Amino acid sequence: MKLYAYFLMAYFSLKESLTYWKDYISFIIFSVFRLVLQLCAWYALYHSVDFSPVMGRSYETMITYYLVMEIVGNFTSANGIAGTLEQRMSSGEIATDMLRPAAPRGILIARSWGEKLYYFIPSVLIFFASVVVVGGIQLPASPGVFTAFLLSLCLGYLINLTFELVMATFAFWFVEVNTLRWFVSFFTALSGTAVPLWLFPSWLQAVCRALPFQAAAYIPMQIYLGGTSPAEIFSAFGTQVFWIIGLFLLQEWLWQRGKRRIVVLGG
Amino acid sequence: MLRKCKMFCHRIAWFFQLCGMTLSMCWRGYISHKGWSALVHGIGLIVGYLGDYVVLYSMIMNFPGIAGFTALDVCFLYSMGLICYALGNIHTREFWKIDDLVLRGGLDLYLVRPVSPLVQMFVRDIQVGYISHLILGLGCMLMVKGMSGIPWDLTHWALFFFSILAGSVVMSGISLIATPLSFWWGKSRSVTGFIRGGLRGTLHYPVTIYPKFIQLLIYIIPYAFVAYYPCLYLLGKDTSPKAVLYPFISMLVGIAANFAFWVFWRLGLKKYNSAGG
Amino acid sequence: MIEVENLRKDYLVKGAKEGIFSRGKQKKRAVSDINFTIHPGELVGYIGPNGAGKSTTIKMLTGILLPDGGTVRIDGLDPFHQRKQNCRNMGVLFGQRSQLWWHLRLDDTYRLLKHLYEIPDQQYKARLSTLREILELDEFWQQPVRQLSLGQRMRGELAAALLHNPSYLYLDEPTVGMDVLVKERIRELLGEINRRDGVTILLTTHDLEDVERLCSRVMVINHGNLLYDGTMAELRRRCPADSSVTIDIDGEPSLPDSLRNVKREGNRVSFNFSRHMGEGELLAKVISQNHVRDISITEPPIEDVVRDLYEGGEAK
Repeated sequence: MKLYAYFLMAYFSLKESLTYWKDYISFIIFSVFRLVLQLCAWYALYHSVDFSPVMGRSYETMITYYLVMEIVGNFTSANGIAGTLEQRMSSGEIATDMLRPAAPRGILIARSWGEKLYYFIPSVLIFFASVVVVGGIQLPASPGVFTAFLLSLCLGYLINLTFELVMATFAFWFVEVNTLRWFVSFFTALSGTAVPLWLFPSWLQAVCRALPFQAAAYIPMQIYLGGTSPAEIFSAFGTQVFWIIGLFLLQEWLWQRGKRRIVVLGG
Repeated sequence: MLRKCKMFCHRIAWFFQLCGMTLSMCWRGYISHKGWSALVHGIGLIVGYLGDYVVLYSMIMNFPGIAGFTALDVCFLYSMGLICYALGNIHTREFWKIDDLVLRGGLDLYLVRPVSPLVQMFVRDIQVGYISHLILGLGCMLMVKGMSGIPWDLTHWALFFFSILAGSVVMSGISLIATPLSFWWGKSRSVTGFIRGGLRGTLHYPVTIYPKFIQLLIYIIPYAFVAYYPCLYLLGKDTSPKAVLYPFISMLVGIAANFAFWVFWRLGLKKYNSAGG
Repeated sequence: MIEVENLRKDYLVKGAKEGIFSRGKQKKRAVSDINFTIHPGELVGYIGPNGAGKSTTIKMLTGILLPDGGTVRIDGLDPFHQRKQNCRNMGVLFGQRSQLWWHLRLDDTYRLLKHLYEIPDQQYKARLSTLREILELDEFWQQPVRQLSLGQRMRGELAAALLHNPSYLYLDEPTVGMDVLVKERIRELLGEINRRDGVTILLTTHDLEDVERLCSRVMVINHGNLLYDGTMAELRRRCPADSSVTIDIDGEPSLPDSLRNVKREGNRVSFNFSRHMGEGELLAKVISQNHVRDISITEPPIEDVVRDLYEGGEAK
C-alpha cells in the first residue's frame, strides 16, 4: 500500500515534467548533440593514432564505453534530491513532510524517480539509435556478465543516492548544496562518466579508487566491458556495498542530528 | 557640432558612471546575500572547472593530439573559451529571465524610465561571480603558455588581449541573439538553452574535428570565432600571414552578431508594444 | 492634464482549435473608444473586474503600449512616441512588481534612479529628505529590502516612484495583498502626496474601499467600456441597490404596506429602501405616522453598487 503511494508520486512527477514537452524535445536534442560532440572528439583522437588501441583499449571499446556510459550515468545519477531536500529544510516545509505517513526522504526519492524516467528514457532511446547508426557496439560477453552489470548498476545508484543524502544533510550545517555541488563536480569528473579511468596516470587512478564516485559508474562499466573474472566481480560488488553502507550510516547520523534541529526550528 | 560632440561625451561618461554604480550594487548585493559563502562558492567554481581541465588533459595526453592540437593546446583553447564566456556574459544574465519578463510584464518596469530598456537590462544583473572563471582561465592559460614554452613577442601579447576582447564580444552576441524569440513565442528557453548549453561544448576542441554540418552550425551561431580562430595565431597553428587577421575577423563577427541581436530586439519590442505580453 | 480620446486597443487571442493545425486568431477588444480628461491634482480611482481593460489603459497612458486607435495626450505629449520625455514626468508603481534591489538598502536603488533620471544633487537631497519624512522611511532605512514587510516595501516603492518629482503617478493595484491596517496607512500616504505636491494620481484597484476612502472621482470599466465617470456620491445616487433603514419606535408601529423586507424586533423595525426608486416619500410617511425615537440609515455596500453597474454594462 505504502509502496503504491510512492509509485503514484513518481508517476505524477513524471507527468508534471512531460507537460513541458517543448523543453523535453529540446532536452533530447541537447543530449544527442552533446553525445555527438564527444564522439567527434574520440574519433579525432583515435584518428591521430590510426585507430590502433590506446592503453590496450580499441576504438570500438571506447565508443561502447561512451555510449553505454550515457545510460549508466543517467541511471545511477541521483542529482537534484539534495537541492530539494535543502530547500524544504531551510523553508521548514520538511516539518510538514514529517507529519505525513510517508517518510520525507522516501517522497523525494519517489519524485526523483519520476524525473529520472523523464531523463532516462531519452538516453535509452539514444543508445538504441546509436547502435543502429554507429553499429559495432560491443555487447556483454555473456548473460551472466549482463546480469552482473545490471546488479552493479543498481548498487551504483544506491551509492549516488546515499551520497546525495549525505550532501543534503551536510549542507544543512555548512554550505549550500549549489556550492557543494561545484566542489563535488571536480570529483565526479574522476568518476569515469567523462573519461574512462584507464586513461588517467596511475597515481590519479589510485586516488579515484579511494573515492566512492568511481564505484557508482566506473565499476558497472568495467563489468559490462568484460575481462573481469567472477572473483573480481564479487570484489567489485563488495566495494560498492561497502560504500553504500558507509555513506548510509554517515547520512543517517547526520540526519538524526539534523532532524532534532529542524524540530527546534519548526517549534 | 562642438555641442553635439560634448553631448556625446557626456552620454559616454554617464554610461560608465552607470556601469560603475551597478557593478558596485551587484557586488554588494552578492556579498550581502551570500556573506562568507560567496567566497566558498567562488572557490567551488574554480575547483569544479578544474575538473574539466583534468578530464581534457588526461584524455588527450595519451594521444599524439587532436587535429594537430596537443593536450596543452587544448587546455589553452579551453581557457580562452572560459575567459570569453565569463567576460561575454557579464551583462547578459537579465536576458536569461526574458521569458518571465515578457510573460509577466517585468519588462514594463524598464519601459517606464527615460533610458533605453536594453541599457537598463545590461546593467541590472552584472555577474560578479564570474571572477572565478577569470582567475582560473587566466591562471591556466598563462601556466600552459609557460609549459609549452612558445616565445611571445609584443604582437602576440597585443593579439592575446585583443583576442580575449573579440571572443567576449562574440560570446555576448551568441548569448543574446535568440532571446528576442520570447516576444513571439512567449518562451524562448528551449532555443536559448540549446545555444547556451548544448553548443558550448564546441568551445573545447578545434572546430576541424566536427563534421561539416556542425561546423556550419558553429559558424552561424559563431562559437568557432570565440576561441578557435583567435587562438590559431597565438598557438602557432597557422603560420601564414593571414592568421594575424583572425582575431579581427572574430571582432567583426562579434559586432555583427550583437548588431543582429539589436535589430531582432527592436522588432520584438515593436511587437510587444503593439500586442502586450 | 491627461486627455484621452476614443482610445482603443485590440488583442489577438488564440481561438479554439479549428482542426489539427490551424488555430483561429480572434480579435478581442480590450479597450473600446474610451474618453476622459483628468485635470492636474485629481485623484482618480479606476476600477473594474479582472480583464476589464484597466491595465491596458494604464499601459497606454504610460507609453508601454501603442494604441490601436484614438489619442492620448499628457500635457500635450504623446506617451508612446515621446516616451522618454513623458517618462521624466511620471511615476509608476506596479503592486505586483518590485523596482527595488532586493539585497540592498533603499538608498542604493534611489541613487541609481537619481542617475537614471539625471536629478541634480541639490534637488535630489531635498526631495529625498521630504520623502523620508512623509513616508517615514527612516525606521527601516538601514535594512536590505528583502527584510522589509510588505507595507514598508510599498512605502519604499512609492518613494522610488516619486523621487524625480513627477506630476503624474500611476498606481497599478498598490494595496494588493496587504492587511487592513497597512492598506489604511498607504491610503493616507497617497492622500497626503496628492494634497501636498498636487500630484495627479490614477490608481487601479480591486479593493473598492481604496476608492471610497481616497478618490474624489471614480471611473468604472468593464469589457473595455467606460461605464461610469464621476464622483463616488453620484455613483451611489445612480445605483439601484438598497439602503437599509432601522428605526426605534415608541408604541405600536403603523407601517405602509408597500415597505419591503420588513423585520420587527420588539420596538425596532428595519426595512429596505432605495433612493433610486423614489421611495423618499415612503420614508417620510413612516416617520410622520410613528413616534420615532431613533433612526439609522445604512448605505448599500460599495461592492453592491459596482456589481449593479457591471451587470448593467453586460446587459448592454
